[in-house]
Amino acid sequence: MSIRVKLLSAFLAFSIIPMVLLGALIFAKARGEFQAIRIAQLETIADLKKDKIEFFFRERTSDVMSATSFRNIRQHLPVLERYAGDKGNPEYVRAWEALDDQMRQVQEAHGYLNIMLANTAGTVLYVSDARLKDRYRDKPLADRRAYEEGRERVYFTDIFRSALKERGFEMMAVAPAKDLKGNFIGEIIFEIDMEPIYALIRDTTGLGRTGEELIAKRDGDAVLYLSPIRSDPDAALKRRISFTEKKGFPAQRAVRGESGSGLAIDYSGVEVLAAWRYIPSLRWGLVTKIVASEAFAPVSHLKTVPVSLGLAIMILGIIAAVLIARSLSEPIKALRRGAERIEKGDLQCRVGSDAKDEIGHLSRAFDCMTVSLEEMTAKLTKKAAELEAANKELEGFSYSVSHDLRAPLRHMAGFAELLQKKEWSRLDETSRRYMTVIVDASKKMGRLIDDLLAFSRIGRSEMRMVSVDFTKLVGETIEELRHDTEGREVAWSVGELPDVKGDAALLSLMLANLISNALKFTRPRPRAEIELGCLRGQDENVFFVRDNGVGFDTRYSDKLFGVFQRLHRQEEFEGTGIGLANVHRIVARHGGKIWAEGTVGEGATFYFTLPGTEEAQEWQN
Amino acid sequence: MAELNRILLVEDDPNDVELTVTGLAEYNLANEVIIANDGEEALDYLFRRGKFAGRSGGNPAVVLLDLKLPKVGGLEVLRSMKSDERLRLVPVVILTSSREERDMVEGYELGTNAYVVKPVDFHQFVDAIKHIGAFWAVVNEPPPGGAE
Repeated sequence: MSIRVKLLSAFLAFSIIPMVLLGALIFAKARGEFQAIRIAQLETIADLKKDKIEFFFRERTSDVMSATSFRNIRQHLPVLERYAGDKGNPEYVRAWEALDDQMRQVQEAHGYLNIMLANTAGTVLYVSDARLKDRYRDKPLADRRAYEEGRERVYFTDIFRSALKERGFEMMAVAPAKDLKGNFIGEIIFEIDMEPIYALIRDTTGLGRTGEELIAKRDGDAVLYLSPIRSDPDAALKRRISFTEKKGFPAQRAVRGESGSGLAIDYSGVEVLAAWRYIPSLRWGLVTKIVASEAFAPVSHLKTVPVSLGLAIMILGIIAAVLIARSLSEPIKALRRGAERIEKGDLQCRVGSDAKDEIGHLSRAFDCMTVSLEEMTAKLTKKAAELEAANKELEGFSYSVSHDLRAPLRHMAGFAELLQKKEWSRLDETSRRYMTVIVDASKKMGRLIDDLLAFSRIGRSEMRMVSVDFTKLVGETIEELRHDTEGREVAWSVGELPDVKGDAALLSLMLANLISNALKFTRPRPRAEIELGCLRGQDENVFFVRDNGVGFDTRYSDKLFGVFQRLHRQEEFEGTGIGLANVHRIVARHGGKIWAEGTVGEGATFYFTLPGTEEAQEWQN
Repeated sequence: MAELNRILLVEDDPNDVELTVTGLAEYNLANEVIIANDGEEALDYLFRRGKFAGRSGGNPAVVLLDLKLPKVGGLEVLRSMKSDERLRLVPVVILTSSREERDMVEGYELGTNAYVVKPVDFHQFVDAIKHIGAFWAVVNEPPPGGAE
């Protein structure tokens, strides 16, 4: 992941997400608080309206109540009944006019649609509205329930469509009329116009654009709306919502006698904030409501603030992150380019900047490193050149040894032999021995030179490191030395050996030297025992070659591996003493160690370590 | 014994010349040995120039070539021979004191037919010379167009 992506992710994680969460939290809280305020407002309005409605009907009650004790009614109602069949009688006319005078006053003073008087049986005797006089007079009151209830107390009927007003609604208040003795003498009926009530609920001051009020009553298991509603001006007495429907909840609650407030679904299925009240005296439900989306409109602006703020911060943050990332990654990229150039060998390359930050420090430290690298490389180059010169010299030396020293030796040996051949018969015993010594010594020196050159080659030859099956190599080496063991009893014991990493030719030479050594020094034994094995070490594998030969004194063990170092006399065991020096050099070139343990007369053990292959390491575990 | 073919011995050290010729003589192989004391002389003989201009006879049956020679080195002589159309097929036996691997590798790369290290032991040396002489000068059939 690049620095830019990391910075952007970190920025998103640590700034935008908390901000969005915080914004949502603030919004939710503000909405909650705003809802509480709105509800309180709605409840105040609902309570106010309820009070006004109740006040209106208390007034109507007191109007009717005061009418019950009108002397006029006590005096003249019985007259109207008495002369009901003789309406031309002056008594009837006088009584009618007296009543009519007062009732019209009452009607006009309080805005009643009509006032009627009935006898004890409920037959209408007086009608204040002239248009209705012929229609109602001398007929029984149509609403029998009103008649029955009205005998005892003030009774309000349900709302009904008015016959007097186009598209108007009214209700009746019925109360008993009594004489001075308190006897029931008939009924007083006021027809009340609903317009003031409707005007009251039409007034949605303080409720906003979608604010609405309505009244309803319970009709069986349904809500029956008593007032027009916004979407339906003819709803009064027509619109019905069953209690099983999942809407109009505020009205459903109100008509069932509950008073409360909250978020609810209204008659048209819209979510509203509403307050609902029950008016027991009328068995009405009153609902004051406002559509929720409008109610919360001021708060939803709050939502746009954190969102737009968040967007702005995000854009600024992305720009900042990209800039910071660039200011961070550009110097790092420059460092990387420098490092790549240095890696390709351009040690003059410098990447140091003047920047005061950590990257600036790093770049200067990098330069310091490059400087010391340059110095070190220069030193190493010089050393390598010196070494190469020395090696060349050495090569030249061995080349000239090879050529120039062997030639005179060959001549010495050759001409000595020719002389020996030519003069043999004339030489005495001593001279003959001298000649033999000259020839033998030249030959020996030839061998020494050859051995020395081979030893030098072992140190200089190129190594091809491969995985070597050591067990197989040991087997092949023993097979090659088979002719040395003819006529001897040799007990071989080869354990399981791990594979090693090394130059197969050099390792073969090393094994040949060690094994032929073991064969050589066990020659005096009737039964030679030679064991090859491997010890599991902590960090490396230790191989060993053990024999039961003549052994050696451990005190001289460090001399074993020197060039032309011998611990035995030439007469006992042949050899120039180069073999173990070769072995030592081969082990050393492989990064291993070699050492030996021995006891005179009992045998010797040579230990050596070699770098293992990965498989060999597994074997070790 | 088959008719002997000519042997060109390129050797600067008179002692070695003497020992080699002695070795060849011991087995009656010395009658047609031509000695060149350095690389230039060897090339003069082979290319019939200088003091060998107009010499008689064809190419030698075999060239016994030392490597360390004055003027023109043995490997130079070998390179000149192997890049020459007429001498390309003449067998060459490098006969030298050097056991150096790079000499061996270069010798074979240039196309030598054999590489023999002169043994210090006189008997072995004589043995080696005898075998070389017998094989290349007697047993081996020289390439066509060698003798005139």
